[in-house]
Formats: sequence, structure tokens, C-alpha cells
Amino acid sequence: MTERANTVFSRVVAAVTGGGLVSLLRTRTIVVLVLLLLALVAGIELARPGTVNALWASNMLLFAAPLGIVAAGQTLVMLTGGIDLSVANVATASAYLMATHSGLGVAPAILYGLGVGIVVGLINGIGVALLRVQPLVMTLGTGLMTEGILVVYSQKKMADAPRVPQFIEDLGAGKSLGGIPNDLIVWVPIAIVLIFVLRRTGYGRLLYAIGDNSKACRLEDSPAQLCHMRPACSSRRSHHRWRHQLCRTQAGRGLPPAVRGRSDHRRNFDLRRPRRIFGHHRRSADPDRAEQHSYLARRARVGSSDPLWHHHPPSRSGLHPPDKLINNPYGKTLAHETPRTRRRPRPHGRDAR
Amino acid sequence: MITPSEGKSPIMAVRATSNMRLTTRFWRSLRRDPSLFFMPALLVVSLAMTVVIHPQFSDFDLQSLAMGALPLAFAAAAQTVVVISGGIDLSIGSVMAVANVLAASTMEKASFGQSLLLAVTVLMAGAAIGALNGLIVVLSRIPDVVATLTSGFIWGGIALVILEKPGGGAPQEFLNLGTGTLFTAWLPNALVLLVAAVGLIWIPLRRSKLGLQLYAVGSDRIAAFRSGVNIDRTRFAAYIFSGLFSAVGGLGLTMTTGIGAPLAGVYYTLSGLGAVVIGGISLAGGRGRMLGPVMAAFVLTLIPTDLIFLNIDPNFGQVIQGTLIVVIVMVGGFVDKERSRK
Repeated sequence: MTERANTVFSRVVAAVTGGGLVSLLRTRTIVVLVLLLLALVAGIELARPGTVNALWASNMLLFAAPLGIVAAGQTLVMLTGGIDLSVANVATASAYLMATHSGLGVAPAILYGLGVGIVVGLINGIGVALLRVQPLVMTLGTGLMTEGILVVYSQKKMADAPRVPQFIEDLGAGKSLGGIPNDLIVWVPIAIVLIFVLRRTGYGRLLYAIGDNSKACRLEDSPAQLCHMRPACSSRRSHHRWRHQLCRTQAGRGLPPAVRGRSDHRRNFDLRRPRRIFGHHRRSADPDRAEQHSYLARRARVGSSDPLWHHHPPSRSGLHPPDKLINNPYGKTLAHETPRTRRRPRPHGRDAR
Repeated sequence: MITPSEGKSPIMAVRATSNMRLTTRFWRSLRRDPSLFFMPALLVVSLAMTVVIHPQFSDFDLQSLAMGALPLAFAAAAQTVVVISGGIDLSIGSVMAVANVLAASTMEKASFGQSLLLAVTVLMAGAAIGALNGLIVVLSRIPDVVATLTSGFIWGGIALVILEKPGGGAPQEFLNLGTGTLFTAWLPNALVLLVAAVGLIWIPLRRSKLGLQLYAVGSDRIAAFRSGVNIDRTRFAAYIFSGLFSAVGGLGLTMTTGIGAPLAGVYYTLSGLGAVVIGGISLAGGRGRMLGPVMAAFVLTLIPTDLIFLNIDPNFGQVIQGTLIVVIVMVGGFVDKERSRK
């Protein structure tokens, strides 16, 4: 959404501020968020002087942590261009199952909670990545299923312990070391792992690549289908374990040799561990590059049946100058289309069946 | 998702069928759009199941079915317009809630004539809200999922500001528009209202130039642009109609419940989306008919009723609804794949 530069909104802002601010805000969305946060805190302090203090901040963090963890999972899904509508239901189910099984002890109760997330996430992932149901529909469906099953279950099953174990309660609601909420101790590692995965591993790069142009990814033979599957597993409690597994399997070595070994891949759409974080990262997220590359991959498949083959035979390096791609007789959309098979002409009139 | 067989343009469909036999037209439209046959069949099957389960099925049951399905059908209709144009509107429930509380809070002491005037005002407010949504989506280029989700939060809050807790009311004659029966006991007013409202808004729209443009923009935005369709204006119009249908749904909610409830609308966003999906509308846009989602709304209302008659927990209805959504989309995907392979 940010690369659509010529929106009316940004033009208006540019006219008011002279353009420099717009480019800053467009490239660094986080600046906007920090400014907004500061403005909100200042607003609270102005409205009720004396509200903002250490206790207030610690309480805010306590309440923000669950939302932050859910948002972390949603981030992964949305980077691939999908959406997960089932997170709220899964989080509720996870909490409920954990609470009702707390008689079994701390570890089994947490496992039950994580299990809900993993099961629903796995179903979502199978539906989205393998069966190709739109993410919106799939997660809407599983969300409804989870909610319905939970309500039915909650009428049958009573809690087997009067309250959740002290450890879980402390983990979720307690504070330690003079006001640091324990939630934060769960949230911060998840955030760090997530940022690391997105910036430094091939898996994170694949997520961006799929969101940019999943067709190109598929043509690259990158494990896009598996890639869809993992982030769909997003529940409040399941992140932790899941993310660790991802790091282990995907950091550089998980990709097939076809992707690793070819020089033009490395130059253009490097799906492996980046050498320089920012330079490579930005280039791979460039939609024109992705498009160009998908064109190359497609041409490799289609071969000489592609009419453009005769106009622009492949160069030695396997790269086309982007302007040749843009000026092709089909316009820019060509690169998005998969090769079509020739269709028989259909009979008309009475024989239409 | 867009396969060659989906690439039919509505223009072609209209022109090619104009001087054709009725049976040929039927089979062709059936082949193009299996949901045309599938949805009525599903509705008939679920109605038959209800009658088998509950042999005392009477006019009263039919009335309560129509009343229960009325707001959901309008929510589905609102979603359908936007989805056909290639977008999605997650603020429908909140807009319905705003319309509901607006109507209930202002009509409480009004006469029947005044309440009709107020209803028109509410409809215009709904269209204005839709227009605002459309403006946000078109001008800011924020993806419509995000834009309408956030504006949904705003309208949900405004509904709470207008009416803090469930209350208000409307004159009995106005409520009778949605709850009573006018002609025979087997033809509830809710059904008449639904058919009239959807027919009056949707059929002229679909037959107009704008309707064609809606389908064109939904099926392939770039192709539509190159054919001279003003994409921004078309999407904007889709959101206006979505707001209008949501407002009708809010009024329907007022008629069937008799009060205004600021939180009642929330349920209809996702259920309406479910009905759209079950009704055979492709979320990729550009395909589908209004009949499917409206019938799907009736099916979705029948499921919990049947479960109650069967002495099963009606909350399993949600599970069935979710399964139906996923399975239908999956089967639709396979059918499309098979057809495009031919």
C-alpha cells in the first residue's frame, strides 16, 4: 500500500509540508506510529495531569501485550497477502481450554492452549496453501467452527480446578522487578524472534516475496506453498514454539538447490540469507524486479511458444532490461499471467450443452 | 483464481442470449454459474428437512424464518455489491447498527407517516456512510479490508454514542412492515419487503451501465480500465449501494426486534460474508448473482432452527456454517479448475 505513491492523500500532505516529510513518512511508517503514540500519551497527560507515571505505563504494557502477540502472528499472515480472521476465536478457545484443564498442572494446561492454536493454524494452512481456498474465507470458516465448538464444549465441560495455577496467573497478570509486567517477558522474545526471522532469514524474505507476487514465487520453485502454511498457525500461545522451529528449518538451508544455485536468482530475488540487510532486502521487495523475474521464469517454462520470445531472445545473463519488459506489446500485465492452454472453440446455439 | 472460463464479460452474456431459446439460455447460464441451480436446491433441501424434522411446520414458522433471515439477507446483499466490484466491506454490521439505533431512537414517539419519513432519512444516512467508506478506500488506496474494518470500529462507536443501551422503539404499523402478514398467513411481510427492496435496488442497478461496470471492475480491473471504465467511480458507487443495503438491513433489524440495540449489528458482518461465500459469489470479484446470498441467508437461519427441533445444541449451527463456507469454496475451486482444464 505504501508504494502507491501518487495518492491524493500524500499529494495533499506534500503540498502542505513541502514533500520532505512525506517521503520520510512513506519510507518509515514506524515514525508515524511513534509520533501518534507520543501524541496520545501527551493528550492523556493534558486531559488528566498526573496520570502518566511508571505504574500507568506498566499497566498499559500489561494490557497491550496480548494484543501485541496476536498482532505478531497476524503480521506474518498479512505479509503473504493473506488475512487471519480466526485469531480472536482461537485466542478465546486457547484461553478457555487452558483454564478448564488447569487441574492437570501447569505444563499440560499450557500445552492444551498451544494445541488449539496449532490445530486450527494447521487446518488454516492446509486450506490456504494446499487446497487454495482464499485466506479470508478459510479463516472465517475455521473461526466460526472454533467458536461454535467452544460454546458447545463450554456448556458440557466444567472447570476441573477452582482457579488457574498460580504460575499461569503470574505469567499473564503479574509484575516483577518493581513493575515490569510478566507479559512483557513473553512478548519481547516473540517480537525479537519475529523481527530476526523477517529481516535475517530466507523464510522472512520468502514471506515478503510471496506478498509481492506469489505467482512469481511459484514460478521460482520456491517453497511458497509451505511458506503459506506456517504463518497461518497463529495463535496467541503458539508463536513461541513455532517461530523457533522456523528459524531452525529455514535459515538459509531449507530452500531447494534450484533456488540456491542460480546466479541470477542471487542477484535479483535473493531468497537466501541476505548479506547486507537493507540493500538486498529493499531490492527484493521491489515489485518491478519481482515482475521482471517472474517474466523470466515464465519464459523459461513456455519456451518458444511465447510470442515475445522472438522479439526479445534471452540474453546471456538471463536478464532483460526492465524497459523491454514494460514496453512489450501486451503491456505490463503479461508478467502476472500464467501460460494459458489453447481452448477449443465452443459450439453455439442449440448445441451449447 | 481468474481462469479463462471466468473471463466472460456481462456484455457478452446479455448480447448472446437475447435471441436464444429459453432452454438453451437456461443450460448456458447453469453451466456458467452452477450456483444458480445449487442455491435454490440447497434452500429446498433444507426447507424439506425442516418439514421432515418438524412436521407441524406452520405459517408461524415461515414468518419467524423470514423475520430471522431479513437482516442477514440485507447484510449479504450489501456485501454482495461490494464483493462483485472486487472489494470487501467489513463495516456492514456497524452501519446496520447505526441505522438500527438511529431509527429506534427517533421513531419512538413518531406517527406512522413520520416514521416512514425517518426511514428514508436513515436510508440516506446509510448511503452517506457508504459513500464515506468508498471515499476512504478510493482516495487513500488503503486496502479495503483495512479501511472498512477500521471505519467499522468508528461506526460501531457512533452507534453506542447514539444509543447507549438497547432501547427505543417504533410505531406498531411500522413494525408490522417486517413482522406481520398482509395478504395471506403464508406470505410474511418480511419476505415481501425483502423481495421488494432487493428487487427495486438491485435489478435496475444490474441492468444499468453501472451494473456492467461493477462486474467489469470486479472481474479484471486493468481490462476494465482499458475499456474506458472509471474504476474509482465504480468502486465508490459500490460502497454507496453497500451502505444503502446496510441501512435497509438496519431498518429490518428495527422492524423484527422492535428496538434499537447498538451491539446487535456486529454479528451480521461475518455472517453476511459467510452468506455471500455460500451463495456462490467469488471473493475475487466479478461473478455471481444476488439470488445466491439472499437464499444462503435463509439457509443459515434454518440451520440453528433445525438443530433446536432435533434437540441438538444450536451452537453447532456455527460449526456447520463454517464447514459449509469452507467446503463450498473448496468445491467451487475444484469445479473451476476442472472447467478451465477442458
